[in-house]
Amino acid sequence: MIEFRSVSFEYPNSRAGIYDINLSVNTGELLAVLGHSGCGKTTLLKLLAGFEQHNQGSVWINGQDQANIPCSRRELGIVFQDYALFPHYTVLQNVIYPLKIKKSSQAEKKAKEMINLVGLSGNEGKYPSQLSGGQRQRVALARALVFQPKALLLDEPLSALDATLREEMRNEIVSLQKTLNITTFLITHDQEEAMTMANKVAVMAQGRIVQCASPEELYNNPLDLNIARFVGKTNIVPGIVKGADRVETPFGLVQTRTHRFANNQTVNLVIRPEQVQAVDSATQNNAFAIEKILSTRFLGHTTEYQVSLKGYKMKFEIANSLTSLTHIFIPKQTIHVLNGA
Amino acid sequence: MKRITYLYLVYLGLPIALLLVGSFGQSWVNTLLPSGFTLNWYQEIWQTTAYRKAFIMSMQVCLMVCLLNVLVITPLVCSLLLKGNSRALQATRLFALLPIAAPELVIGFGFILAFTRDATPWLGATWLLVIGHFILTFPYFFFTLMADMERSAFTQLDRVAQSFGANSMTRFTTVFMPLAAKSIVAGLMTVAAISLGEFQLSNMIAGFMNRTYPTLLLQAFYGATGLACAATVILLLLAITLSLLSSYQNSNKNRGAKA
Repeated sequence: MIEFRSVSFEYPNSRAGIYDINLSVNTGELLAVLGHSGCGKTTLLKLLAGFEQHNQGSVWINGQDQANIPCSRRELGIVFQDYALFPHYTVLQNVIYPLKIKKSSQAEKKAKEMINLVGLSGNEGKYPSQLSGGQRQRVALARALVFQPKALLLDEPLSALDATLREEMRNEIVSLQKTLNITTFLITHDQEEAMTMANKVAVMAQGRIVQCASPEELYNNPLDLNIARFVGKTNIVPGIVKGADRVETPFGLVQTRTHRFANNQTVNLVIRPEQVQAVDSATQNNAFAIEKILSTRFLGHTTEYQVSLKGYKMKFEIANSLTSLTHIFIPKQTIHVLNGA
Repeated sequence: MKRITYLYLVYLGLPIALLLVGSFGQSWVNTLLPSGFTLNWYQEIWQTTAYRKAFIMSMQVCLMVCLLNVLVITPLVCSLLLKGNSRALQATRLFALLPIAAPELVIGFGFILAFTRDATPWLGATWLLVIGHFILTFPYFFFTLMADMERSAFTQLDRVAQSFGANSMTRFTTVFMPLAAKSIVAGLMTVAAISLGEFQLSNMIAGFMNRTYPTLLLQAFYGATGLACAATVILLLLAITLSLLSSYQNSNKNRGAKA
Protein backbone atom coordinates (compact mmCIF):
# COMPACT_ATOMS: atom_id res chain seq x y z
CA MET A 1 0.00 0.00 0.00
CA ILE A 2 1.22 3.50 -0.90
CA GLU A 3 0.25 6.57 1.09
CA PHE A 4 0.97 10.26 0.77
CA ARG A 5 0.12 12.05 4.02
CA SER A 6 -0.09 15.85 3.69
CA VAL A 7 2.97 15.87 1.43
CA SER A 8 4.30 19.20 0.18
CA PHE A 9 7.38 19.91 -1.87
CA GLU A 10 8.81 22.94 -3.65
CA TYR A 11 11.77 22.93 -6.00
CA PRO A 12 14.64 25.13 -4.77
CA ASN A 13 14.51 28.71 -6.09
CA SER A 14 11.16 28.06 -7.68
CA ARG A 15 7.49 28.14 -6.77
CA ALA A 16 6.81 24.98 -8.68
CA GLY A 17 5.93 22.01 -6.54
CA ILE A 18 3.10 20.06 -4.97
CA TYR A 19 0.99 21.00 -1.98
CA ASP A 20 -0.80 19.06 0.75
CA ILE A 21 -1.10 15.79 -1.12
CA ASN A 22 -3.17 13.10 0.57
CA LEU A 23 -3.45 9.96 -1.46
CA SER A 24 -3.54 6.24 -0.91
CA VAL A 25 -3.21 3.28 -3.24
CA ASN A 26 -4.27 -0.07 -1.88
CA THR A 27 -2.32 -3.26 -2.50
CA GLY A 28 -2.98 -4.60 -5.97
CA GLU A 29 -4.69 -1.38 -7.04
CA LEU A 30 -3.78 0.73 -10.06
CA LEU A 31 -3.95 4.45 -9.37
CA ALA A 32 -3.57 6.90 -12.24
CA VAL A 33 -2.44 10.44 -11.55
CA LEU A 34 -3.91 12.51 -14.34
CA GLY A 35 -3.08 16.09 -15.20
CA HIS A 36 -1.72 18.54 -17.75
CA SER A 37 2.04 19.08 -18.19
CA GLY A 38 3.54 20.95 -15.26
CA CYS A 39 0.76 20.11 -12.81
CA GLY A 40 3.18 18.24 -10.52
CA LYS A 41 2.36 14.63 -11.30
CA THR A 42 5.93 13.62 -12.14
CA THR A 43 7.11 15.37 -8.96
CA LEU A 44 4.78 13.07 -7.07
CA LEU A 45 6.45 10.07 -8.68
CA LYS A 46 9.92 11.45 -7.92
CA LEU A 47 8.98 11.84 -4.24
CA LEU A 48 7.58 8.33 -4.12
CA ALA A 49 10.66 6.89 -5.82
CA GLY A 50 12.99 8.86 -3.54
CA PHE A 51 14.58 10.93 -6.31
CA GLU A 52 13.46 14.05 -4.41
CA GLN A 53 12.82 14.57 -0.69
CA HIS A 54 9.55 16.19 0.39
CA ASN A 55 9.59 19.31 2.58
CA GLN A 56 6.50 18.39 4.61
CA GLY A 57 4.33 15.38 5.32
CA SER A 58 5.28 11.75 4.87
CA VAL A 59 5.32 9.05 2.22
CA TRP A 60 4.51 5.50 3.32
CA ILE A 61 5.05 2.24 1.47
CA ASN A 62 3.61 -0.93 2.99
CA GLY A 63 3.24 0.76 6.37
CA GLN A 64 6.80 2.07 6.47
CA ASP A 65 7.66 5.76 6.52
CA GLN A 66 10.10 6.41 3.67
CA ALA A 67 11.63 9.56 5.20
CA ASN A 68 15.11 8.10 5.69
CA ILE A 69 15.00 5.41 3.06
CA PRO A 70 17.05 6.23 -0.05
CA CYS A 71 15.82 5.49 -3.53
CA SER A 72 18.09 2.46 -3.78
CA ARG A 73 16.37 0.72 -0.85
CA ARG A 74 12.74 1.48 -1.66
CA GLU A 75 12.42 -1.52 -3.99
CA LEU A 76 10.16 0.09 -6.55
CA GLY A 77 10.06 -0.88 -10.20
CA ILE A 78 10.05 2.20 -12.40
CA VAL A 79 9.19 2.44 -16.10
CA PHE A 80 10.09 5.75 -17.69
CA GLN A 81 8.45 7.49 -20.64
CA ASP A 82 11.38 6.84 -22.96
CA TYR A 83 12.03 3.33 -21.63
CA ALA A 84 15.48 4.18 -20.16
CA LEU A 85 16.97 0.86 -21.19
CA PHE A 86 20.72 0.46 -20.90
CA PRO A 87 21.83 0.77 -24.54
CA HIS A 88 25.03 -1.19 -23.95
CA TYR A 89 23.18 -4.24 -22.60
CA THR A 90 21.11 -6.85 -24.41
CA VAL A 91 17.48 -7.56 -23.50
CA LEU A 92 18.54 -10.34 -21.15
CA GLN A 93 21.30 -8.23 -19.59
CA ASN A 94 18.83 -5.37 -19.06
CA VAL A 95 16.26 -7.60 -17.38
CA ILE A 96 18.82 -9.45 -15.30
CA TYR A 97 20.40 -6.19 -14.05
CA PRO A 98 18.19 -5.67 -10.95
CA LEU A 99 18.57 -9.33 -9.99
CA LYS A 100 22.36 -9.14 -10.22
CA ILE A 101 22.37 -6.01 -8.07
CA LYS A 102 20.29 -7.86 -5.50
CA LYS A 103 22.48 -10.98 -5.87
CA SER A 104 19.34 -13.00 -6.51
CA SER A 105 19.72 -16.73 -7.01
CA GLN A 106 18.74 -18.21 -10.38
CA ALA A 107 18.86 -14.71 -11.86
CA GLU A 108 19.04 -15.85 -15.47
CA LYS A 109 16.12 -18.25 -15.09
CA LYS A 110 13.95 -15.56 -13.47
CA ALA A 111 14.91 -13.00 -16.11
CA LYS A 112 14.06 -15.40 -18.93
CA GLU A 113 10.71 -16.19 -17.33
CA MET A 114 9.88 -12.51 -17.12
CA ILE A 115 10.97 -11.95 -20.74
CA ASN A 116 8.65 -14.79 -21.67
CA LEU A 117 5.82 -13.27 -19.63
CA VAL A 118 6.04 -10.00 -21.56
CA GLY A 119 6.10 -11.91 -24.83
CA LEU A 120 9.69 -11.28 -25.86
CA SER A 121 11.11 -14.80 -25.93
CA GLY A 122 13.70 -15.16 -28.67
CA ASN A 123 14.84 -11.55 -28.32
CA GLU A 124 17.13 -12.07 -25.34
CA GLY A 125 20.30 -11.36 -27.31
CA LYS A 126 19.10 -8.21 -29.03
CA TYR A 127 20.17 -4.71 -28.07
CA PRO A 128 17.54 -1.99 -27.39
CA SER A 129 18.47 -0.27 -30.66
CA GLN A 130 17.36 -3.41 -32.51
CA LEU A 131 13.86 -3.40 -30.97
CA SER A 132 10.65 -1.57 -31.84
CA GLY A 133 9.09 0.96 -29.46
CA GLY A 134 6.58 -1.57 -28.14
CA GLN A 135 9.27 -4.20 -27.58
CA ARG A 136 11.44 -1.71 -25.71
CA GLN A 137 8.48 -0.87 -23.50
CA ARG A 138 8.01 -4.56 -22.74
CA VAL A 139 11.68 -4.90 -21.81
CA ALA A 140 11.35 -1.89 -19.51
CA LEU A 141 8.30 -3.51 -17.90
CA ALA A 142 10.05 -6.87 -17.53
CA ARG A 143 13.06 -5.18 -15.94
CA ALA A 144 10.85 -3.22 -13.53
CA LEU A 145 8.92 -6.32 -12.47
CA VAL A 146 11.58 -9.02 -12.42
CA PHE A 147 12.78 -8.36 -8.85
CA GLN A 148 9.24 -8.42 -7.40
CA PRO A 149 9.15 -4.77 -6.35
CA LYS A 150 6.82 -3.44 -3.67
CA ALA A 151 5.10 -1.31 -6.29
CA LEU A 152 5.31 -0.47 -9.96
CA LEU A 153 5.69 3.19 -10.97
CA LEU A 154 4.84 4.08 -14.55
CA ASP A 155 5.81 7.54 -15.77
CA GLU A 156 3.86 8.29 -18.97
CA PRO A 157 4.74 4.79 -20.17
CA LEU A 158 2.78 4.84 -23.41
CA SER A 159 3.21 8.37 -24.66
CA ALA A 160 6.02 7.46 -27.06
CA LEU A 161 3.97 4.76 -28.80
CA ASP A 162 1.58 5.06 -31.73
CA ALA A 163 -2.18 4.80 -31.15
CA THR A 164 -2.62 1.10 -32.01
CA LEU A 165 0.36 -0.02 -30.00
CA ARG A 166 -0.72 2.18 -27.11
CA GLU A 167 -4.04 0.40 -26.82
CA GLU A 168 -2.38 -2.99 -27.05
CA MET A 169 0.16 -2.09 -24.37
CA ARG A 170 -2.56 -0.61 -22.16
CA ASN A 171 -4.29 -3.98 -22.07
CA GLU A 172 -1.05 -5.83 -21.52
CA ILE A 173 0.02 -3.65 -18.62
CA VAL A 174 -3.36 -4.05 -16.92
CA SER A 175 -3.29 -7.78 -17.50
CA LEU A 176 0.26 -8.06 -16.07
CA GLN A 177 -0.66 -5.85 -13.14
CA LYS A 178 -3.62 -8.06 -12.33
CA THR A 179 -1.66 -11.29 -12.80
CA LEU A 180 1.08 -10.14 -10.46
CA ASN A 181 -1.35 -8.26 -8.18
CA ILE A 182 1.13 -5.42 -7.91
CA THR A 183 0.30 -1.98 -6.54
CA THR A 184 0.74 0.40 -9.47
CA PHE A 185 1.16 4.14 -9.67
CA LEU A 186 0.58 5.46 -13.19
CA ILE A 187 1.45 9.01 -14.23
CA THR A 188 -0.31 10.20 -17.37
CA HIS A 189 -1.73 13.22 -19.15
CA ASP A 190 -3.95 11.00 -21.30
CA GLN A 191 -7.43 10.83 -19.79
CA GLU A 192 -8.37 7.81 -21.89
CA GLU A 193 -5.33 5.94 -20.61
CA ALA A 194 -6.20 6.83 -17.02
CA MET A 195 -9.88 5.95 -17.35
CA THR A 196 -9.32 2.61 -19.08
CA MET A 197 -6.43 1.35 -16.97
CA ALA A 198 -6.97 2.58 -13.44
CA ASN A 199 -9.10 1.49 -10.50
CA LYS A 200 -8.81 4.99 -9.16
CA VAL A 201 -7.89 8.28 -10.84
CA ALA A 202 -6.40 11.28 -9.06
CA VAL A 203 -6.75 14.48 -11.07
CA MET A 204 -4.01 17.02 -10.40
CA ALA A 205 -3.92 20.72 -11.16
CA GLN A 206 -1.43 23.35 -10.03
CA GLY A 207 0.31 21.00 -7.63
CA ARG A 208 -2.84 19.79 -5.87
CA ILE A 209 -5.12 16.78 -6.10
CA VAL A 210 -8.47 18.20 -7.14
CA GLN A 211 -10.42 14.94 -7.22
CA CYS A 212 -9.62 11.32 -6.58
CA ALA A 213 -12.27 8.78 -7.47
CA SER A 214 -13.08 5.77 -9.58
CA PRO A 215 -13.15 6.45 -13.35
CA GLU A 216 -16.96 6.12 -13.39
CA GLU A 217 -17.38 8.52 -10.48
CA LEU A 218 -14.97 10.98 -12.00
CA TYR A 219 -16.73 10.90 -15.35
CA ASN A 220 -20.27 11.08 -14.04
CA ASN A 221 -19.74 13.35 -11.06
CA PRO A 222 -16.81 15.67 -11.68
CA LEU A 223 -16.23 18.12 -8.85
CA ASP A 224 -15.70 21.15 -11.06
CA LEU A 225 -15.83 22.35 -14.63
CA ASN A 226 -12.12 21.86 -15.23
CA ILE A 227 -12.36 18.19 -14.32
CA ALA A 228 -15.52 17.82 -16.39
CA ARG A 229 -13.74 19.31 -19.41
CA PHE A 230 -10.54 17.32 -18.82
CA VAL A 231 -12.19 13.94 -18.37
CA GLY A 232 -13.99 13.13 -21.60
CA LYS A 233 -15.91 15.29 -24.06
CA THR A 234 -18.63 17.43 -22.59
CA ASN A 235 -21.20 20.17 -23.13
CA ILE A 236 -21.20 22.80 -20.41
CA VAL A 237 -24.57 24.54 -20.40
CA PRO A 238 -25.09 27.57 -18.16
CA GLY A 239 -28.45 27.85 -16.40
CA ILE A 240 -30.49 29.14 -13.44
CA VAL A 241 -32.33 26.89 -10.99
CA LYS A 242 -36.07 27.45 -11.31
CA GLY A 243 -37.79 25.50 -8.62
CA ALA A 244 -37.41 21.82 -7.78
CA ASP A 245 -35.41 19.85 -10.36
CA ARG A 246 -35.75 22.46 -13.09
CA VAL A 247 -33.04 24.56 -14.68
CA GLU A 248 -33.63 27.32 -17.19
CA THR A 249 -31.06 27.08 -20.00
CA PRO A 250 -30.57 29.06 -23.23
CA PHE A 251 -32.60 26.40 -25.10
CA GLY A 252 -35.40 25.87 -22.57
CA LEU A 253 -36.24 24.27 -19.23
CA VAL A 254 -34.21 21.19 -18.40
CA GLN A 255 -35.32 18.70 -15.77
CA THR A 256 -32.51 17.50 -13.54
CA ARG A 257 -31.64 16.90 -9.89
CA THR A 258 -31.10 20.31 -8.26
CA HIS A 259 -31.56 19.47 -4.59
CA ARG A 260 -28.08 20.78 -3.68
CA PHE A 261 -28.85 24.20 -5.13
CA ALA A 262 -31.04 27.13 -4.11
CA ASN A 263 -33.76 28.63 -6.25
CA ASN A 264 -32.44 31.17 -8.79
CA GLN A 265 -28.85 29.98 -8.24
CA THR A 266 -26.57 30.06 -11.27
CA VAL A 267 -25.40 26.57 -12.25
CA ASN A 268 -23.66 24.72 -15.06
CA LEU A 269 -25.05 21.55 -16.53
CA VAL A 270 -22.53 18.91 -17.60
CA ILE A 271 -24.03 16.95 -20.48
CA ARG A 272 -21.92 14.19 -22.01
CA PRO A 273 -22.27 13.94 -25.83
CA GLU A 274 -22.90 10.19 -25.83
CA GLN A 275 -25.74 10.47 -23.30
CA VAL A 276 -27.84 12.58 -25.67
CA GLN A 277 -30.41 10.58 -27.68
CA ALA A 278 -32.15 11.29 -30.98
CA VAL A 279 -35.97 11.28 -30.79
CA ASP A 280 -38.82 11.99 -33.18
CA SER A 281 -40.68 14.72 -31.28
CA ALA A 282 -40.46 17.08 -28.32
CA THR A 283 -43.44 15.60 -26.51
CA GLN A 284 -41.49 14.39 -23.45
CA ASN A 285 -39.52 16.36 -20.87
CA ASN A 286 -35.91 17.22 -21.78
CA ALA A 287 -36.60 16.78 -25.50
CA PHE A 288 -35.66 19.73 -27.68
CA ALA A 289 -36.15 20.58 -31.34
CA ILE A 290 -33.02 20.94 -33.43
CA GLU A 291 -32.95 24.31 -35.11
CA LYS A 292 -30.04 23.56 -37.42
CA ILE A 293 -27.36 20.91 -37.87
CA LEU A 294 -24.11 22.84 -37.86
CA SER A 295 -21.68 20.01 -38.56
CA THR A 296 -21.37 16.24 -38.69
CA ARG A 297 -18.23 14.20 -38.16
CA PHE A 298 -18.00 10.50 -38.85
CA LEU A 299 -16.19 8.76 -35.97
CA GLY A 300 -16.48 5.14 -37.10
CA HIS A 301 -19.03 3.47 -34.84
CA THR A 302 -20.80 6.81 -34.13
CA THR A 303 -21.26 10.20 -35.74
CA GLU A 304 -20.62 13.44 -33.91
CA TYR A 305 -23.15 16.20 -34.54
CA GLN A 306 -22.97 19.83 -33.64
CA VAL A 307 -26.45 21.35 -33.64
CA SER A 308 -28.10 24.60 -32.75
CA LEU A 309 -30.87 24.56 -30.09
CA LYS A 310 -32.48 28.01 -30.10
CA GLY A 311 -29.12 29.47 -31.04
CA TYR A 312 -27.19 27.41 -28.44
CA LYS A 313 -24.53 25.06 -29.82
CA MET A 314 -24.50 21.50 -28.53
CA LYS A 315 -22.40 18.48 -29.47
CA PHE A 316 -23.53 14.89 -29.25
CA GLU A 317 -22.68 11.47 -30.63
CA ILE A 318 -25.23 8.94 -31.87
CA ALA A 319 -25.26 5.73 -33.86
CA ASN A 320 -24.75 5.94 -37.61
CA SER A 321 -28.01 4.21 -38.47
CA LEU A 322 -29.97 7.42 -38.03
CA THR A 323 -32.02 8.55 -41.07
CA SER A 324 -33.44 11.83 -39.86
CA LEU A 325 -32.47 14.11 -37.00
CA THR A 326 -35.11 16.53 -35.75
CA HIS A 327 -35.10 16.35 -31.95
CA ILE A 328 -32.78 15.37 -29.13
CA PHE A 329 -33.51 14.01 -25.67
CA ILE A 330 -31.27 14.45 -22.61
CA PRO A 331 -32.03 11.84 -19.89
CA LYS A 332 -32.49 13.55 -16.54
CA GLN A 333 -30.23 11.16 -14.60
CA THR A 334 -27.28 11.69 -16.96
CA ILE A 335 -27.06 15.43 -16.33
CA HIS A 336 -24.56 16.54 -13.71
CA VAL A 337 -25.13 19.92 -12.10
CA LEU A 338 -22.25 22.09 -10.93
CA ASN A 339 -22.11 25.41 -9.17
CA GLY A 340 -22.06 28.20 -11.73
CA ALA A 341 -20.14 30.72 -9.62
CA MET B 1 38.50 28.79 -54.68
CA LYS B 2 40.14 25.65 -56.07
CA ARG B 3 43.42 27.51 -56.60
CA ILE B 4 43.38 28.73 -52.99
CA THR B 5 42.75 25.19 -51.78
CA TYR B 6 45.69 23.88 -53.80
CA LEU B 7 47.92 26.71 -52.58
CA TYR B 8 46.90 25.91 -49.02
CA LEU B 9 47.67 22.23 -49.51
CA VAL B 10 51.08 23.09 -50.98
CA TYR B 11 51.75 25.43 -48.05
CA LEU B 12 50.81 22.66 -45.63
CA GLY B 13 52.27 19.72 -47.50
CA LEU B 14 55.53 21.11 -48.86
CA PRO B 15 57.36 21.39 -45.51
CA ILE B 16 56.23 17.86 -44.63
CA ALA B 17 57.35 16.55 -48.00
CA LEU B 18 60.73 18.30 -47.60
CA LEU B 19 61.15 16.82 -44.12
CA LEU B 20 60.40 13.38 -45.49
CA VAL B 21 62.84 13.78 -48.40
CA GLY B 22 65.47 15.29 -46.10
CA SER B 23 65.24 12.37 -43.67
CA PHE B 24 66.33 9.97 -46.42
CA GLY B 25 68.94 12.29 -48.03
CA GLN B 26 72.60 11.61 -47.50
CA SER B 27 73.71 15.21 -47.70
CA TRP B 28 71.79 18.48 -47.88
CA VAL B 29 73.90 21.60 -47.98
CA ASN B 30 72.91 24.74 -49.92
CA THR B 31 70.84 22.83 -52.50
CA LEU B 32 67.12 22.73 -53.20
CA LEU B 33 66.94 18.98 -52.55
CA PRO B 34 69.29 16.60 -50.74
CA SER B 35 71.62 14.25 -52.58
CA GLY B 36 71.93 10.50 -52.12
CA PHE B 37 69.71 8.04 -50.21
CA THR B 38 70.23 6.66 -46.72
CA LEU B 39 68.41 5.17 -43.74
CA ASN B 40 71.28 6.08 -41.46
CA TRP B 41 69.57 9.07 -39.88
CA TYR B 42 66.78 6.88 -38.49
CA GLN B 43 69.32 4.34 -37.33
CA GLU B 44 71.34 7.09 -35.68
CA ILE B 45 68.32 8.38 -33.82
CA TRP B 46 67.61 4.94 -32.39
CA GLN B 47 71.26 4.44 -31.50
CA THR B 48 71.65 7.83 -29.85
CA THR B 49 70.84 7.43 -26.17
CA ALA B 50 69.57 10.98 -25.79
CA TYR B 51 66.93 10.51 -28.52
CA ARG B 52 65.91 7.11 -27.31
CA LYS B 53 65.59 8.36 -23.74
CA ALA B 54 63.62 11.41 -24.85
CA PHE B 55 61.31 9.26 -26.94
CA ILE B 56 60.68 6.89 -24.04
CA MET B 57 60.21 9.85 -21.70
CA SER B 58 57.61 11.36 -24.07
CA MET B 59 55.78 8.06 -24.18
CA GLN B 60 55.85 7.71 -20.40
CA VAL B 61 54.63 11.26 -19.86
CA CYS B 62 51.92 10.70 -22.46
CA LEU B 63 50.72 7.50 -20.77
CA MET B 64 50.71 9.10 -17.34
CA VAL B 65 48.83 12.13 -18.63
CA CYS B 66 46.24 9.86 -20.24
CA LEU B 67 45.87 7.93 -17.00
CA LEU B 68 45.57 11.13 -14.96
CA ASN B 69 42.91 12.48 -17.31
CA VAL B 70 40.85 9.30 -16.95
CA LEU B 71 41.31 9.07 -13.18
CA VAL B 72 40.52 12.72 -12.47
CA ILE B 73 38.18 13.93 -15.18
CA THR B 74 35.97 10.85 -15.63
CA PRO B 75 34.66 10.81 -12.03
CA LEU B 76 34.54 14.61 -12.09
CA VAL B 77 32.22 14.63 -15.13
CA CYS B 78 30.10 11.87 -13.62
CA SER B 79 29.74 13.73 -10.36
CA LEU B 80 28.99 17.09 -12.05
CA LEU B 81 26.23 15.49 -14.11
CA LEU B 82 24.68 13.68 -11.16
CA LYS B 83 24.82 16.59 -8.73
CA GLY B 84 23.27 18.90 -11.34
CA ASN B 85 24.77 21.89 -9.55
CA SER B 86 24.86 24.57 -12.23
CA ARG B 87 27.32 26.76 -10.30
CA ALA B 88 29.83 23.95 -9.89
CA LEU B 89 29.44 23.09 -13.55
CA GLN B 90 29.95 26.71 -14.59
CA ALA B 91 33.04 27.04 -12.41
CA THR B 92 34.55 23.84 -13.79
CA ARG B 93 33.89 24.92 -17.36
CA LEU B 94 35.63 28.22 -16.67
CA PHE B 95 38.58 26.46 -15.06
CA ALA B 96 38.76 24.05 -17.99
CA LEU B 97 38.89 26.93 -20.45
CA LEU B 98 41.84 28.65 -18.74
CA PRO B 99 44.59 26.49 -20.31
CA ILE B 100 43.19 27.35 -23.74
CA ALA B 101 42.86 31.05 -22.98
CA ALA B 102 46.26 31.49 -21.28
CA PRO B 103 49.36 31.19 -23.53
CA GLU B 104 51.61 28.26 -22.67
CA LEU B 105 54.39 30.75 -22.03
CA VAL B 106 52.34 32.22 -19.18
CA ILE B 107 51.66 28.79 -17.71
CA GLY B 108 55.36 27.96 -18.06
CA PHE B 109 56.42 31.13 -16.23
CA GLY B 110 53.85 30.36 -13.56
CA PHE B 111 55.43 26.94 -13.04
CA ILE B 112 58.93 28.45 -12.92
CA LEU B 113 57.83 30.99 -10.33
CA ALA B 114 55.91 28.50 -8.22
CA PHE B 115 58.34 25.60 -8.26
CA THR B 116 61.78 27.14 -7.94
CA ARG B 117 61.39 28.25 -4.34
CA ASP B 118 63.15 26.68 -1.39
CA ALA B 119 59.87 25.25 -0.16
CA THR B 120 58.88 23.96 -3.60
CA PRO B 121 62.04 23.05 -5.46
CA TRP B 122 60.41 20.71 -7.94
CA LEU B 123 61.01 22.30 -11.31
CA GLY B 124 62.51 19.65 -13.57
CA ALA B 125 60.71 16.76 -11.87
CA THR B 126 58.95 14.32 -14.16
CA TRP B 127 55.76 14.39 -12.11
CA LEU B 128 55.61 18.17 -12.51
CA LEU B 129 55.97 17.75 -16.26
CA VAL B 130 53.07 15.29 -16.17
CA ILE B 131 50.96 17.79 -14.24
CA GLY B 132 51.87 20.50 -16.74
CA HIS B 133 50.71 18.33 -19.64
CA PHE B 134 47.61 17.34 -17.68
CA ILE B 135 46.67 21.01 -17.26
CA LEU B 136 47.18 21.65 -20.97
CA THR B 137 45.12 18.64 -22.04
CA PHE B 138 42.41 19.01 -19.39
CA PRO B 139 40.01 21.08 -21.57
CA TYR B 140 40.18 18.69 -24.51
CA PHE B 141 39.33 15.60 -22.50
CA PHE B 142 36.86 17.36 -20.22
CA PHE B 143 34.80 19.01 -22.97
CA THR B 144 34.78 15.88 -25.17
CA LEU B 145 33.47 13.74 -22.34
CA MET B 146 31.11 16.35 -20.92
CA ALA B 147 29.47 17.13 -24.26
CA ASP B 148 28.92 13.45 -25.08
CA MET B 149 27.57 12.55 -21.67
CA GLU B 150 25.26 15.56 -21.58
CA ARG B 151 23.80 14.36 -24.87
CA SER B 152 23.36 10.82 -23.54
CA ALA B 153 20.56 9.69 -21.23
CA PHE B 154 23.08 9.05 -18.47
CA THR B 155 21.31 10.86 -15.60
CA GLN B 156 18.08 8.99 -16.24
CA LEU B 157 19.83 5.64 -16.63
CA ASP B 158 21.67 6.31 -13.41
CA ARG B 159 18.33 6.87 -11.67
CA VAL B 160 17.04 3.61 -13.07
CA ALA B 161 20.08 1.76 -11.74
CA GLN B 162 19.68 3.56 -8.42
CA SER B 163 16.06 2.44 -8.16
CA PHE B 164 17.23 -1.16 -8.57
CA GLY B 165 19.47 -0.72 -5.55
CA ALA B 166 22.82 -0.17 -7.30
CA ASN B 167 25.37 1.75 -5.19
CA SER B 168 27.51 4.62 -6.55
CA MET B 169 30.44 2.45 -7.55
CA THR B 170 28.24 -0.12 -9.30
CA ARG B 171 26.43 2.66 -11.16
CA PHE B 172 29.75 4.20 -12.17
CA THR B 173 31.10 0.94 -13.52
CA THR B 174 27.91 -0.49 -15.05
CA VAL B 175 26.27 2.67 -16.37
CA PHE B 176 28.65 5.61 -16.65
CA MET B 177 31.76 3.84 -17.90
CA PRO B 178 30.10 1.78 -20.66
CA LEU B 179 28.26 4.88 -21.88
CA ALA B 180 31.40 7.00 -21.74
CA ALA B 181 33.82 4.43 -23.17
CA LYS B 182 33.87 5.70 -26.75
CA SER B 183 34.16 9.33 -25.65
CA ILE B 184 37.00 8.43 -23.31
CA VAL B 185 38.94 6.73 -26.11
CA ALA B 186 38.31 9.66 -28.48
CA GLY B 187 39.35 12.15 -25.81
CA LEU B 188 42.50 10.19 -25.02
CA MET B 189 43.60 10.22 -28.66
CA THR B 190 43.52 14.01 -28.59
CA VAL B 191 45.25 14.10 -25.21
CA ALA B 192 48.00 11.79 -26.46
CA ALA B 193 48.49 13.81 -29.65
CA ILE B 194 48.81 17.06 -27.68
CA SER B 195 51.09 15.58 -25.04
CA LEU B 196 53.45 13.93 -27.54
CA GLY B 197 53.77 17.08 -29.63
CA GLU B 198 53.94 19.58 -26.75
CA PHE B 199 57.09 21.71 -26.86
CA GLN B 200 56.74 25.11 -25.25
CA LEU B 201 55.81 24.19 -21.69
CA SER B 202 58.05 21.10 -21.68
CA ASN B 203 60.98 23.20 -22.83
CA MET B 204 60.44 25.52 -19.88
CA ILE B 205 59.78 23.05 -17.09
CA ALA B 206 61.48 19.76 -18.03
CA GLY B 207 64.85 19.01 -16.50
CA PHE B 208 67.96 17.80 -18.34
CA MET B 209 67.23 14.20 -17.37
CA ASN B 210 63.63 14.17 -18.45
CA ARG B 211 63.59 16.10 -21.69
CA THR B 212 60.78 15.10 -23.98
CA TYR B 213 61.20 14.20 -27.63
CA PRO B 214 60.01 17.56 -29.08
CA THR B 215 62.39 19.53 -26.81
CA LEU B 216 65.28 17.46 -28.04
CA LEU B 217 64.27 18.13 -31.65
CA LEU B 218 65.28 21.76 -31.23
CA GLN B 219 68.84 20.62 -30.64
CA ALA B 220 68.71 18.28 -33.60
CA PHE B 221 68.40 21.23 -35.96
CA TYR B 222 71.71 22.59 -34.73
CA GLY B 223 73.35 19.38 -35.95
CA ALA B 224 72.95 17.45 -39.23
CA THR B 225 69.87 18.38 -41.28
CA GLY B 226 69.09 14.74 -42.13
CA LEU B 227 69.03 13.76 -38.46
CA ALA B 228 66.72 16.65 -37.61
CA CYS B 229 64.40 15.73 -40.49
CA ALA B 230 64.27 12.07 -39.44
CA ALA B 231 63.57 12.98 -35.83
CA THR B 232 60.74 15.30 -36.91
CA VAL B 233 59.28 12.69 -39.24
CA ILE B 234 59.02 10.25 -36.33
CA LEU B 235 57.10 12.81 -34.30
CA LEU B 236 54.95 13.62 -37.29
CA LEU B 237 54.11 9.95 -37.84
CA LEU B 238 53.03 9.61 -34.22
CA ALA B 239 50.81 12.71 -34.48
CA ILE B 240 49.24 11.55 -37.77
CA THR B 241 48.56 8.06 -36.38
CA LEU B 242 46.85 9.50 -33.34
CA SER B 243 44.85 11.97 -35.44
CA LEU B 244 43.65 9.16 -37.70
CA LEU B 245 42.71 6.99 -34.75
CA SER B 246 40.92 9.91 -33.14
CA SER B 247 38.87 10.72 -36.24
CA TYR B 248 38.09 7.01 -36.75
CA GLN B 249 36.93 6.81 -33.16
CA ASN B 250 34.81 9.96 -33.58
CA SER B 251 33.12 8.65 -36.72
CA ASN B 252 32.44 5.35 -34.92
CA LYS B 253 31.01 7.26 -31.99
CA ASN B 254 28.72 9.31 -34.24
CA ARG B 255 27.53 6.17 -36.03
CA GLY B 256 26.73 4.64 -32.64
CA ALA B 257 24.83 7.74 -31.56
CA LYS B 258 22.73 7.70 -34.75
CA ALA B 259 21.88 4.02 -34.24
